[in-house]
Amino acid sequence: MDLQIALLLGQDGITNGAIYALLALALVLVFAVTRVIFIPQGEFVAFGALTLASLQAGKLPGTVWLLLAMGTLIAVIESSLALRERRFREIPLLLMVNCGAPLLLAGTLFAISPASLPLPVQVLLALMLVVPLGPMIYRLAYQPVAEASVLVLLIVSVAMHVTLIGIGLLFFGAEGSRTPPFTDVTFEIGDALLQGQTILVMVASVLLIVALYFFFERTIYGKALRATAMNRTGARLMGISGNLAGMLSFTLAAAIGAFSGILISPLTTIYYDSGFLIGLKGFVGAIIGGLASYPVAAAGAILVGLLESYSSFHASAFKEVIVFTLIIPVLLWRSLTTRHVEEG
Amino acid sequence: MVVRCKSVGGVITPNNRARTMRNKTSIARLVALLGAAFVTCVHAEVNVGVTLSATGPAASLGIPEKNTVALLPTSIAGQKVNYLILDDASDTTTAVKNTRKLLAENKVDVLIGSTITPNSLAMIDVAAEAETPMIAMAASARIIEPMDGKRYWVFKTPQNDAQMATAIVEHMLNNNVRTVAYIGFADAYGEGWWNEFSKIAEARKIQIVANERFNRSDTSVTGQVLKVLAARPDAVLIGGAGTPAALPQKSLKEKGYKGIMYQTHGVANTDFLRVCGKDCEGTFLPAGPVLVAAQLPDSNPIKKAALEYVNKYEEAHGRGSVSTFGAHAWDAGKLLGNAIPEALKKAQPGTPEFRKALRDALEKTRNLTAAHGVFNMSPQDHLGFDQRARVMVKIEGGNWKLVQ
Amino acid sequence: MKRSLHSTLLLLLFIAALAIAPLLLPEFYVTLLNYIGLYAIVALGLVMLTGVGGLTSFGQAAFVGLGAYTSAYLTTVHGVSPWLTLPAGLLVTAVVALSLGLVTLRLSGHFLPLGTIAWGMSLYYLFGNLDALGGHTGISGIPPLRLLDLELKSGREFFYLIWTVLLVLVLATRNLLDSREGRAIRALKGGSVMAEAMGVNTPRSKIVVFTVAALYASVSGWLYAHLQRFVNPTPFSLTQGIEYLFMAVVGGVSHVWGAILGAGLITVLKQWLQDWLPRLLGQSGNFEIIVFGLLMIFVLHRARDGLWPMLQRFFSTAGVVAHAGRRRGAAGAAGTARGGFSAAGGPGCQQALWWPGGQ
Repeated sequence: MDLQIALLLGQDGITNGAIYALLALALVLVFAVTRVIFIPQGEFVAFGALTLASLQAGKLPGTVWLLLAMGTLIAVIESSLALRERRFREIPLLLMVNCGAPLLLAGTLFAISPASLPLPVQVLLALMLVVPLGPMIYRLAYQPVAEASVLVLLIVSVAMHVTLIGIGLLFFGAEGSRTPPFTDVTFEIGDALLQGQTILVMVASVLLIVALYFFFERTIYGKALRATAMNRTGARLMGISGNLAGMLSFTLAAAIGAFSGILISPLTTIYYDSGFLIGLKGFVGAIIGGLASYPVAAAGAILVGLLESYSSFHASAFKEVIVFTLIIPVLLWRSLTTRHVEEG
Repeated sequence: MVVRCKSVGGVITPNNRARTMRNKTSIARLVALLGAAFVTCVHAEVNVGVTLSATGPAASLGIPEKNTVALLPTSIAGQKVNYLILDDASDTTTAVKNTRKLLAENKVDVLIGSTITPNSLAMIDVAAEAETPMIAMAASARIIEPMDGKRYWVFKTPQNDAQMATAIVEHMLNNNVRTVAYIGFADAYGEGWWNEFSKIAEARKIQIVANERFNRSDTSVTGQVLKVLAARPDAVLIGGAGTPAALPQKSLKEKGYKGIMYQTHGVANTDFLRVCGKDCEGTFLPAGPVLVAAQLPDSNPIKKAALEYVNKYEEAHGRGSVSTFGAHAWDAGKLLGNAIPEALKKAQPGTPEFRKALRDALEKTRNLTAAHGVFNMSPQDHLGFDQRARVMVKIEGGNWKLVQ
Repeated sequence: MKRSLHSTLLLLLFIAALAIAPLLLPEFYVTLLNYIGLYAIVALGLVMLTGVGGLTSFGQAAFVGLGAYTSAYLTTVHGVSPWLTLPAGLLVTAVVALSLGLVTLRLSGHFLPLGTIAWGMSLYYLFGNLDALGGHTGISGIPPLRLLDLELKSGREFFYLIWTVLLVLVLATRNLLDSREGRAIRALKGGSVMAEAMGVNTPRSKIVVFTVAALYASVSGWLYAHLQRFVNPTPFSLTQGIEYLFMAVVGGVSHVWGAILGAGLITVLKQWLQDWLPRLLGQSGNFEIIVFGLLMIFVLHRARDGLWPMLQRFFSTAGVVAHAGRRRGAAGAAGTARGGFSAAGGPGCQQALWWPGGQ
């Protein structure tokens, strides 16, 4: 292996690692706030990328129907609750947010032809379609069991993952898609070409991480999430609603997932079931961070990306064996150095 | 058998018959029917059990097969034919469970399936035990070779990997390829191709300089591609199915690889062309003639048979939707269309004698022109394809082009 | 003892029902029961490991694979009798489980489940990449089991073997958990600090329960190999490992009978959806997994402790298990798995129910 190959592999590992890092951040965030191990995180990657690809192909993405269906379901549940509790004034707002907004979005998609729009608008549309699914999933699947054990929440996640995979196959078919790159710029380093898109992935990841940092440090919602993560009961006593915090964290997770998908879909082909393995590797990063520390989780995720890249060069058939076996000593080291407090 | 006379032909769902039976209001009516059965039911219906991988990793192969089964004739030689379709989710346990179900619950006369090699191999024991003929839609020669007591019952419609690999090796020799690298799926498909290709290539003195694997859902194959590039092969063969096979090719192009590229017949669908785009221009692959049916010379008998399928499928699912995988299911239907009338002469559907007769008739298939080639079965060869079952195809202008 | 009488009666009834089931049921139902039995054996191990010991494992499918592959390899390549490959498979699994356990059980908190994912993935890809094990394509032609002159070829014959093994393991599990070792295992879930204060050697107890659960999985794998007579890596993947955990939790992860209930429910539900959905919704889509996932979320919303405690409450209020059951129903509700990876249940956890309507 000469230097050039080593550099190329390193670059590849860091690009993938950057995506894993984003997902790791989202997983840490969701877990810290809600105790949910959000296995369907990966599905948002696939949904984001494939929704964008559908828009570009001039097709109506299936996620529209999902959004409409879930919105209606929530509207029905919330309205009946409001009716029972005689909170009549809230009903119009409920209907508007949960049914009206998705309908408006669907109507817009019908009226205009998304394929002819400029790329940034398409990306925005795709995000608008996918991101609301996050809080909706929280409302429907997790909020009713928000107080259950981590194990039960995990199993709900597994069930949600199974459902979303099925929905993905139904909406997008078994074959994958790619989207055109945001930029065609290439750089030459020695003999090798460096794609602009690769750099874009890294820059965007870093920017997103910085943005999250400011969100948590500077904004009231960010602080509310941190408070909930530190102590749920305490936060509640301070007037921070657990449900609101949950919804907010799921919105962020969905946004990060969908955005990651849109970032990498010009570099690789995304399938309806791509998300699981990508999410799993993000999860590995998150765990290395102890499901608590953002910087360590990001570092862990980049480590996974690098391990993967170098092992795919040396023994591609055994790539996963190598990656996952090497994870164990890292876990052991982390486990012994992290002061672990047992939860009650 | 009684209820079978009453039910309608066409695609019915499993347990239909069982339920119909349970729903019968009076026992008296059932008894009356039973009595009538011996008089009126001279011909019972033929039940065809299908298990295929419509979900899971092999979904892109299984879905066109499933769509194709819906197009198969619902009546053969004046006899109603029912197709019972089950999805095995690309999982061997489910494939075996489905097979047992089709045999025990639906008393099928013949099995079609499954889509992938491991599932088909797992089904052999069950089919042979129930003495029911089975037509696999997976490629590996291991499904029908070596011929033994169990494989006595097993047939298959896709060309053997070896047959396709030979076509590639010959093309390589004609184009002065001396060294070649292989990148394949880390699953049964990639493995099957590697086994056949490496054997034939070595025998013909082509040197294999790299052997790499990747996963269907990998987001990057940079490591494998760099390894291949470092070995400087004259040509690269990518052993993958469907759109995932585009990733190594795109990465190779991006890293500036200039040699000849080969793909396998697994990529032969329009989605592959869509995803791979201009990076796949000039790629060669062996395929069943159905892929380029319209370009075949009129003198080729396969042209008419293949176009019949293409037109039928595209009529139902839109232009450009056809894939060679669906055609394997179509050919299974062709085999049955040919064998069932013969078997009917000897026994009634639903009986062990019929299943045996059907097996014998399948083995006696001669000169049957189907979408992928001409079948000539024998007791030793339960596939029966010859050279006519494969053509070399080149990707040109975003389309499949027959290489003369 | 009135309550033990009740539970013994129920158990005998259950065994009697099982004994005549294959004679009355259609062929395919017996096949389904066979698979349920195989899954329940693995889920039983998880009840012990996760529900009682508080250690979550995603990797059980890999142990099933070890049992299955050992037997498949030895019988097809070396012609060893299947009855000898059972101890061989157990030995291989024990060695692997002990060495994995020694490393990964030191992991605390969330590191442990990830550790199990890690070696679960590694073993799966190892099965697929070793040419001696048939690679991804698999090993076919595994001989059937023979009992004297009887070849266990049909599902009905195999049924008795699988369910006998399962019942023996259920009894063994109960006895193990009632023993001194078992009390130590049960103490694990309350957090290691408390257990160690009471003189429990927690690392040892963890290794014991982990190895025993792995051995259960290995037995299931051995049975699987000879029932299926074909093995390839797919049934031993991480997805299947998650599914086993799924079965245990849906059934009731703190209850030995929850394992059987969970395995049964999920197997039957999948079958049922496969039969009925295409009729309701047409042939075009594959809605089975979507509806399956949604139903499971719904079940977990209604019964987060799994279905077994719910069933128990139902029966005790229905008066089937007399008045004694009512008290136990309450105890069951308090004592079911609340814990997650390291979460402690209350003292109620120690009183989880091991028996239909009895303790």
